[in-house]
This record gives sequence, structure tokens and C-alpha cells, in this order.
Amino acid sequence: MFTKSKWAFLAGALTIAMAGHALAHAHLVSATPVADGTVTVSPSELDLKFTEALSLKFSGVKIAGPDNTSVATGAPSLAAGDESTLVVPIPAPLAAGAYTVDWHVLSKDGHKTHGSYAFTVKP
Amino acid sequence: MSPDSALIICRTLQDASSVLLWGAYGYLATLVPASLAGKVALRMVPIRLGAIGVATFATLAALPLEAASFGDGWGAALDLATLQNILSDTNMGGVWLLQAIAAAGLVLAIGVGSRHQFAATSLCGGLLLACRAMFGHAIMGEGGMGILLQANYAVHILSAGAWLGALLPLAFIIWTLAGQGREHGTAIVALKHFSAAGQIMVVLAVASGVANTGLILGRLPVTWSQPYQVLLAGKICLVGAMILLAVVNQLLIVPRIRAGKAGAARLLACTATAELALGAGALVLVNLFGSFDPG
Repeated sequence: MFTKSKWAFLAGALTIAMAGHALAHAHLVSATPVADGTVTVSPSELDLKFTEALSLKFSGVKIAGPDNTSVATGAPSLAAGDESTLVVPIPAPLAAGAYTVDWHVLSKDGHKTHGSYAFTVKP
Repeated sequence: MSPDSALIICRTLQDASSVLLWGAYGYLATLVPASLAGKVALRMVPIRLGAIGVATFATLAALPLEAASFGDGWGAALDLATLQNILSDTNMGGVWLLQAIAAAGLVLAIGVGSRHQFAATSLCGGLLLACRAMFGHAIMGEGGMGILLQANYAVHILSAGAWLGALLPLAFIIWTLAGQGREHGTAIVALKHFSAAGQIMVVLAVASGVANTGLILGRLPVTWSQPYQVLLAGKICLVGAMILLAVVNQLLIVPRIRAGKAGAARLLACTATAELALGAGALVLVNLFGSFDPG
């Protein structure tokens, strides 16, 4: 009976396991505008590409502009067909200067990561 | 205390109680002669009720703690929208529902008739434990490799849990031996069965643990700058000590018990208790490194 219940369990666990997703800690792969880069035109959105699929409701960014002013952003979304890219609209054009992006994301499996990078607008 | 720390403590309590219920009652249901199992279970009633209480409470608390940890701090713990987002927008939601079913099963099993009660308690505890293979690093693989990783994870926690959990009723049974009571013969049988099944569980747990490290890390955990690897190495040391104790039991102490040497049973009860303590330490370490990036 021990073996029977054990195998029944493994079979059950396996079946449920089949439905799982492939995820872990999400790291920033690339960003547009490029991290530590300079752009000549004010971007209309930020694209942050991560290593893992994200949970949108628990992911977001804060943008700090010159003199540490907070930049207004639109509601973030995931890129169409790509759950690992966070898209953050920037409704108003950015003035020339240095900007810092503080991001925090939750991967779908429940691991939090955060980080920051900078870019410069120089028309 | 930060919500993250509270969540780690909550998951550790959930693991410890589900390991205990899965392993202890699986052993009593299948490998301990019925008359002795009934007596041991009677003495374990407070422990069992306590473990079911802890498992249920930890399962219920996990959802608001996740809300606080993933959302905006403690204020989000009971925020309905945040809780709903966890259930719908992360795969923790599905896992939590399954854990809640297992916890409800544990509570219902309190009312099940005697012999079936052990099996029901063990199976519900095992289900709660197996849910561990459905989030965190267990699901970081992709495709076929991902399925292999999760299956391997399930084998690891269920075999390790079976061994660790069974140590508690074993300690009770050894005390029976020390007392030279009427159950001496059945206690010897239960001890023999533990040795045989325990060896299989330890081999399964170690083999799947090595495979786990291979699949997640791909190398030996010796990068001391990574907390994940330091804690994993610590856990491996604790498990090594447990296995060493088990070998000492098997080769030195059990033969002395069979030969009727006085004091041998008492010594065995001490080593079984020490193994339980080491196993509890390993459980804490697992929960600590589970939150770190493997590196």
C-alpha cells in the first residue's frame, strides 16, 4: 500500500507539473532607449525586455528626470505576443537631460527583482 | 518584519507541518504493525492536531503575505484588488487553491475512522508538500527539461519528506523499545521496516537532489559570493550529517538493540531526535535559498 499511494502521488504531481511554465528570476536583457545611452528624440515609451515572463499587475517603473523630478507615465502593459517585455508609455515629451529608470518586476513564478539604469535626452 | 521575511517563515512552517503529516502518518499507515501504530498515534494526537492547525493557518496566511510582498507592503495584505491580481495574474493563484484544498482535506481527515485516518492525513499532507514543485525554482526549466525538473523536484521533496517525517513516530517507537513493554516484538518489526524503506527514500532524495542542482545550477554550488549557493552547500552538509547518523544507527546501534543490549534503544532515540533537528535545519535553509537567485 505504501508503494501504491506513493506512485499515485507521483503520478498526480507529474500530471499537475506538466501544466507548469518555464520561469525563474527576471533579469533585464535590454531596454529602449538603451541603458546608459543617449537619444536625440524624446521617446514616446520605454520598452524593457526581461529574461522571464512577467506578472504585469506587480511590475512597473519610476522615472526620475533632471533635478530628481518625477516623470508622469501611462499604465504599463506587456508587449503584444511577448510576456517578457514591459512597455511603459511616456505621454509628455521629455526635456533635455539625464533620466533614471527604477524598475521592479515580478516573474510569473513569484520571484521579485528590481534595478535601475539611466539614459540621456540630448536633442 | 518585512512581508518577504514573513512569507519565508510562513512557507517554512507550511513545509515543516506538511512533511510531518506526510511522512509520519505514511509510516504509521503502511509500515508499522496496526496495534503499535494505534498506540503511537494516540500519543501523537496533540502533535497531529498542532501540525494540521499550523498547515491550515500557514496556507491561509500565504495569500495575504504574497499580496504584501508582491504589492505595496503590509497595506496590500488585505487589499481585495491585490489578492485578486495574485489569483489571476501570477501562477501562485492556482497553486494556492490546490494548497487550500489539501489543507481542507487535512482538517476533514480528523473525522475519518482510525486506520484510514493515517492514510488520509498522509495523502493530504503529501499533496500540500507536492505543491512545492509548482512554483519558484521548480518551474524555471523550459519544455521537456522543465517537466523533468518539476518531476524531479516532486520526487525530491516527497522522498526527503517521507524520511524526515517518519523520524518522529520512529522516536516514539524506540522509546517503547527502551521501556521493554508488551510491544517489543512489533517495535522491532517497525524498526526493520523503517530501515528498509528509509534506505530507498534516502537514495531517492540524494539522487534527485543532485539532479536538481545539476538542472538548476549546472555545476557544484561553490560560488561563495552567491547566497543561494552558500545556503545550498550548508544544506548539503546538514543532509550529509543526517546520512552519517543513519549509517551509524544502522551499523552500530541497531545490532545492539537486536542483541538486547541495555541503553542501546535510548541511544538510538537520541540519534533519531538529532536527525530530526538536522532535518528541520535543512528545511529552514531550503526556504532561505529558495528566495535567492541561483546565480
